Amino acid sequence: MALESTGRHRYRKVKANVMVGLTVVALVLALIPLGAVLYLIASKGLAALSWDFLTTLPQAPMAGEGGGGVRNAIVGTVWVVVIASGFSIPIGVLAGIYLNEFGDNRLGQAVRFTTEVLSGLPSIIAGVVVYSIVVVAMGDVTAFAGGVALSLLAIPWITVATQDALDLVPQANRDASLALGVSRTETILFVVLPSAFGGVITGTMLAVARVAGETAPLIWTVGFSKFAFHGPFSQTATLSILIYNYATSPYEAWHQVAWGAAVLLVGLILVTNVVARTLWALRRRKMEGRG
Amino acid sequence: MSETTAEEQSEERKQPPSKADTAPMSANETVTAEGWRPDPAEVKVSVRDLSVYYNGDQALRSIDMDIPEQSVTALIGPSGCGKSTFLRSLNRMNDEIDAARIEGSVALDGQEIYDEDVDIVELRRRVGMVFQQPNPFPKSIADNILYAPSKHGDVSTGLIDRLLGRASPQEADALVERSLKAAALWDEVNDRLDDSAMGLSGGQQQRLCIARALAIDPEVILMDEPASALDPVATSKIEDLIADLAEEYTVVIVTHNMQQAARISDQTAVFLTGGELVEYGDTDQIFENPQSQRVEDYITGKFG
Repeated sequence: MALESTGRHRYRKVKANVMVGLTVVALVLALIPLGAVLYLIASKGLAALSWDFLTTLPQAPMAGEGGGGVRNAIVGTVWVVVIASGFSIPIGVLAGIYLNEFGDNRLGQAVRFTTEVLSGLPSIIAGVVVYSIVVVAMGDVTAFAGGVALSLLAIPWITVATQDALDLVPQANRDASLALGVSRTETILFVVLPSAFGGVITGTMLAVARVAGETAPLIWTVGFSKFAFHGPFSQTATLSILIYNYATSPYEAWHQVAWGAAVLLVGLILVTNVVARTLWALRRRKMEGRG
Repeated sequence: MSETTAEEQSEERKQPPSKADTAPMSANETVTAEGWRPDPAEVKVSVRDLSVYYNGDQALRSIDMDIPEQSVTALIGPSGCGKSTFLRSLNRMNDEIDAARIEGSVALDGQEIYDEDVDIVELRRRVGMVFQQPNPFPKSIADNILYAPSKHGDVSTGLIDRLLGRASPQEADALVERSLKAAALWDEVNDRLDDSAMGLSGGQQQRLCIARALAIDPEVILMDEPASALDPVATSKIEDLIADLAEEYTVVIVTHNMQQAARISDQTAVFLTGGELVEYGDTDQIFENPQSQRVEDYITGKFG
């Protein structure tokens, strides 16, 4: 009997090849926007990058020697993100632990529902809310208020990521620990959390990277400043607001600064993503006994 | 229970002569309508009128059973007959299932384990458990052994202990060695105690789980089909190990495999569909001369 495919089998083979081809086309189409964004930002912005760009303050474009650097915006973004992390990581991780380990009750269901609603919160709303509470109370826009606004966005994402990571820990591991007479709390601390650690870290870093690029909540809460960072309780420059302000300004020199800042911001988010995913991969390999 | 079989069994178990003398003495043993009762002086676990429900479905129906100490008790029966549920009610692992509701009484050395003031942690230290799927922690072999003892404060290995100079590495090493030897695993892993337990074979992982359970020095060891995921060679090692363990511990084992139950157990309980304990008694008697037609049908493969 011949081994070549004939008749119905040949038709099935052709159909399979066509379907694989379609998925490849779809993949390419999905990657085009990503590639286009990265290419445009890199081609326009890389030229602006220099040591001075990172270490000097913005300057007025009238001076005739470019728009200056973005040191204050880099420092400001780091401060805002650190403040946001300080609020959102403990709250989000602990809420995620509660939901997954103790949340099978009415309070848990309420928290879960709230988390789902909040994770779809339009970011401008977070800005308005924090403006009307924190900014009005403090009397000024500050890096602190910006951090609070970003943490409103990050908390539900971190909560969900933590819960998902804990949910992946096999019941068999918990049973093993409980059956050895180890208490529920210790089981969570010493068996469940270490196993889920990689997932929690990755989810947290991705959430933080995501809020680091947010603009809308910061317009209302941190404002902008052309001057050096002045402490977390004063108006502060951030990369995303700087891009927004300078890109909409009429000066070509400031457009250049905005492109350069865009490269920095995308680079920051990219690096965070890669680091987070690498950490997770290493951790998982170690746990599975291949490391 | 016939005299000769009991002696043969004792020989197999390599029990001390005194044990062989007392074991077959049937003066205090009684066979009642409900089932066999061991000598009351030897009862380790006493179950009375135990019923378990999952969301209203009855998984166990009013079980009465006395489990003698330092012996192997096998629980057999078709899938869904409640034998695993029964096993899990002996160390209150059913408490972890929200839908489960337990009625009746289980006593360990005469003390009720379902009383309000019973500390589950303390209970599970005395009643250890080995699961169907080997479930070592994703830690090193040594850390798998030391995990529970260090949480119970039996050994000090943690960072804080080390900083305070309280750590006792020799004691910890000795415990690891003793536990692994008791589980017949020491010779295979003593050169790689710091390697991940996940790299062991399935049979080695299961013996590590047994070693881990022995490390907290329990009195009763519950085993839920410990060999069902293993190949014949690994299974035979586990069976040999169970026979050795029965010299010191009370072993209760759930198995699907009737030949296994016949090979390794001193007494056998047959559960049938619906969560009933249909027959309980000396293993040889159950397999050679079952009292009820249903058990005979099940054992001879006509049903189940």
